[in-house]
Amino acid sequence: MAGPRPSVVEVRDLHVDFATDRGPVHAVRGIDLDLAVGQVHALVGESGSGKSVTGLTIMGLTRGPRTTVRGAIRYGGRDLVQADESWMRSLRGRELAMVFQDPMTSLNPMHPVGRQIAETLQVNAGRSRRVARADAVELLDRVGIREPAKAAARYPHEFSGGMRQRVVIAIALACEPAVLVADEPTTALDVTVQAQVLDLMVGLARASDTAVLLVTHDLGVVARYAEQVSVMRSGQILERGPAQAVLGDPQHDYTRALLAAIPRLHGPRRRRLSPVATPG
Amino acid sequence: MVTARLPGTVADAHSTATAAPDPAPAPVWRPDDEPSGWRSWAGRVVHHPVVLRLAQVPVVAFVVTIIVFLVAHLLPGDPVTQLTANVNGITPEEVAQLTSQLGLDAGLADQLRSYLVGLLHGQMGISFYSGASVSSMLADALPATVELAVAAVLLAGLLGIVTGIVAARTQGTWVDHLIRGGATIGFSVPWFVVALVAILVFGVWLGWLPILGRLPTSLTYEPTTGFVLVDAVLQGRPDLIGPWLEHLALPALTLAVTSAGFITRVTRTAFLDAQAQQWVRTARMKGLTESAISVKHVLRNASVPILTIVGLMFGGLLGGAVVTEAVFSYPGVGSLLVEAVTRRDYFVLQGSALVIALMFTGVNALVDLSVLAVDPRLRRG
Repeated sequence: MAGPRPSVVEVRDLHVDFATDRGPVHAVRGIDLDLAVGQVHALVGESGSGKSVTGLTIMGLTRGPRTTVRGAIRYGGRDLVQADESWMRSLRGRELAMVFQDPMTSLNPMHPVGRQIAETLQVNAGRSRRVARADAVELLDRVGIREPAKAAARYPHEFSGGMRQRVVIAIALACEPAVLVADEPTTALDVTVQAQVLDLMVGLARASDTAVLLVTHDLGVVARYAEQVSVMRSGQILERGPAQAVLGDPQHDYTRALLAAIPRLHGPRRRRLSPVATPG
Repeated sequence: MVTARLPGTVADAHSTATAAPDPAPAPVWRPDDEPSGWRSWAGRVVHHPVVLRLAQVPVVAFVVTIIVFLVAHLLPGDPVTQLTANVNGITPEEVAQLTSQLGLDAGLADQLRSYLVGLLHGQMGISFYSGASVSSMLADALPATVELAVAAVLLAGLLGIVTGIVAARTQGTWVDHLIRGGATIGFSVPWFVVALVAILVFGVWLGWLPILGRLPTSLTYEPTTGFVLVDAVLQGRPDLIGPWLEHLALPALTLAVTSAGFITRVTRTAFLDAQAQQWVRTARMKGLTESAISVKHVLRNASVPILTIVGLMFGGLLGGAVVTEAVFSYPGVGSLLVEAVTRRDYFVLQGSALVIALMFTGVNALVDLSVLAVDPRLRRG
């Protein structure tokens, strides 16, 4: 998988500010990011570092009267920061897709899952309802859900978290998007199914040459799936590079602290867990 | 093929599953495909919310009957006094004879027992005044009240849901404030005030709409079903519909205006709640337009509280119908009830109250059933 691949998305000097009742929040403060065809770019950092906001902003889902976005997100010869909402809408689902953190709440409880997958095919791929529903069954099969025809008629509450996230992955990848933003896709899942779901998602994405932005705080996940990694903190990227290089030989103190904070089974028994240093 | 490239355990398990010569039928979309089995089916029927809900109806009817009977008979004043109020020189013997004729000399328990026995045989007694059977009086009056209640609920629902959604979609703007203010005024003003103002403005000053009755006396109308709209079709009388709607307009609007405010507020809150859910973001991620999200996703989720409040409001609306019918001399169950109370016409009073209570429980059972139809999570367990 190594070797330079063309970039699909180029984020340049991106700033995202939110106006809140207690004053402005600078969530993202001038970051650069490149997503390459068929590769996984991991965005790591602690809670509140601005990783999710970055992902949502690429999708155009942070827009609103209280949000200010500056900088550029270049995609397909256009700047998504400047693009109007209807253009963004036409990209979403078709070329830009997202998998959210909590599969328990990211599906509409009132609609059968098959219909929710079919909907994106109807809207974005112009399929008829009949064809879209047949395709939805096939997609459920492809994300590893047993008896997909029966499963398509079931409602989200009848599935486990891992199965729901597979459904969300099916929705996101239904139209073989160019870019997939995965916002902590397995954080809410049992450890036992995390690897299965990530294997599935990354496998399907690579198969369709989809560029993946994998937002995570799990360095194990980064090591296993990502080609590139950016370490983010307080809205800025501190260190970036090929995943093996950054994890093997971290240059920034914060990255080292992150790596040191991973508890080890085979270390000295009574050693205290190392906190991530918070200077300042 | 994508599956072949999947790494890890999922792909392995998956490919063996599909590689086996599985005689499973081709994928078909079947919305009601459920795991079945007779035993679980029977258990589900007995414990099914629908069955449980319907089983409550006779219980409520019985309790209402007892309460109304007691209230009617314990009210000060009695039918004989009312009947003989304008008769001069009536003797105590004559009073005693009348009391005995009407069956009012028996003890309260005996009267209740014979009333209940009669009810079980489908007899609701007779009016002390007209001598007509209560069931035939109700058969005439009930369709009129149903028409009024349905028209009012439809109007109130339409008004309330539309304004509620508009308020939610324009949250925080002057439109939202205007709608919420209007809603509060709407449900703060009593029915009879709205009724009197409506009569004054539309009936007297503007003269647009009739203010009394259900149909003009100049029209001959022989009820078949008692529902004017149905009869107009059955009897081939399109001339009935216009005047009927005109007469229905003011009482129905009166009830609707005073009830729509609640629906507006509940709809607005339910809509905003649903809109804040995570799956709305998923719908946006799919590239749906905001209006498609509102209609296909948000409204469906908001409909459970809306349906519930419409059902509950129906009770208040029936109470309002009693007053409204009296104000507009509308010949429904409410008018019967009010008249029966003033005259102590026991059987008419009891019959009317029972019918209203049954309508209320019936509608609420209906609402519960539609909530089950809307929300798949409530259907089992």
